[in-house]
Amino acid sequence: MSKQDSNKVTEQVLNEHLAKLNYEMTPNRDLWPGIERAIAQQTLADNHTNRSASGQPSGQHSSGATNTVVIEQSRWSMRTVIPMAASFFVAAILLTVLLPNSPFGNHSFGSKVQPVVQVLEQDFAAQKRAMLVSFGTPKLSELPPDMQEQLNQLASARATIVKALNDDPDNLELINLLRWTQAQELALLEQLYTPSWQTI
Amino acid sequence: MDDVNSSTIVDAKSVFNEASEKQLVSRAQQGDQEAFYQLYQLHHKRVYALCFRILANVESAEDVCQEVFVQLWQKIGNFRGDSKFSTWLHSVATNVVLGHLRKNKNWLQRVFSIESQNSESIEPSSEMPDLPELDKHIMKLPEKARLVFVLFAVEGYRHEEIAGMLKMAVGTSKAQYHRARNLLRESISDE
Repeated sequence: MSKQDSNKVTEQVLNEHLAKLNYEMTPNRDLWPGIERAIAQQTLADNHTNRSASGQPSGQHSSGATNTVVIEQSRWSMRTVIPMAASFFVAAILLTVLLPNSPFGNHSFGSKVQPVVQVLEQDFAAQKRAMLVSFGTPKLSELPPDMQEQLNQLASARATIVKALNDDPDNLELINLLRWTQAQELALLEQLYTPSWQTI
Repeated sequence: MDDVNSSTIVDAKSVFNEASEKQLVSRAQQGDQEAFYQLYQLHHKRVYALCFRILANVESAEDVCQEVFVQLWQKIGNFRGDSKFSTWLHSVATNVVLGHLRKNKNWLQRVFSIESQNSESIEPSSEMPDLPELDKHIMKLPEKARLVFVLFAVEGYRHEEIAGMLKMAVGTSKAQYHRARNLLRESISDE
């Protein structure tokens, strides 16, 4: 068979395959529980933000930074990053207890209670320390410059958010952003030091 | 006569489905999660197929498919019914999956200083499901050729639209499509 004939045949086979192509595929796992969880978190955050802002119950749809944060959080929660999940859980409990507009009621702890930002930062520092110890306490200064820059950028972003939170300690969007930035920093450290990445 | 009856029945069915989908969309726009779940059931396999063919990785495709529906929940209020819901959903899904690809590639390029030329051929995931014949060949394509082929031949976008989405010239999109077809033909004939 000449090359031209052969091309014609394979072209025909390709067209037949294309005509029979299935436009649907079934994922290996049930994706709905993760979606449902993310939507629930988002609705909760929206309600909280709107109630804080106007004292009114909110609708479901909003846009901008808060949503991005919620999506990222939901993606992390779908993965098996246990320290992050634990941190999120602790932070969620702290938020519901400490924030004055919490749906769980007004708890008047007065000046004995640390600000949320301080608790989150302490928790983050402890997690980071534990993580670095588990990796054999590597020197971050020995990382390649690109990676150091990534870490510096995240640390600098975190410091800016903490500063803003000192002025506005109950701002839920900033608190979410801080938690997300902390999670990113931990995830980056984990990726940099886990064996699978070292082999690349 | 039978033909006429059968086409009338098919039309009635599709009209009923569309009406019922409109109701589901309207209820989901009001915040009804049950209606949103039914929309998910109707469309997630199609969205997942798009994610999988674009990303060539099962885990990423599942994660991004979830992200599509979370974003859909946020954006469904913007759907005005000017086009079919499935068409609108598909454009949302395409944007999310291409955005994911762009974001991840930028990150990888920044961290590992990979040249964009080299990053084109991403290795498909080792945990490939049991795929139909053509999909097995599609997964072997270099990334750019795969993206253009999937968007043009499978998803039905025009080269002008693809060029806009992938930030490339229209001619490049056409060239990548022809490259993909040639590679697919070679792959099929090698079997």
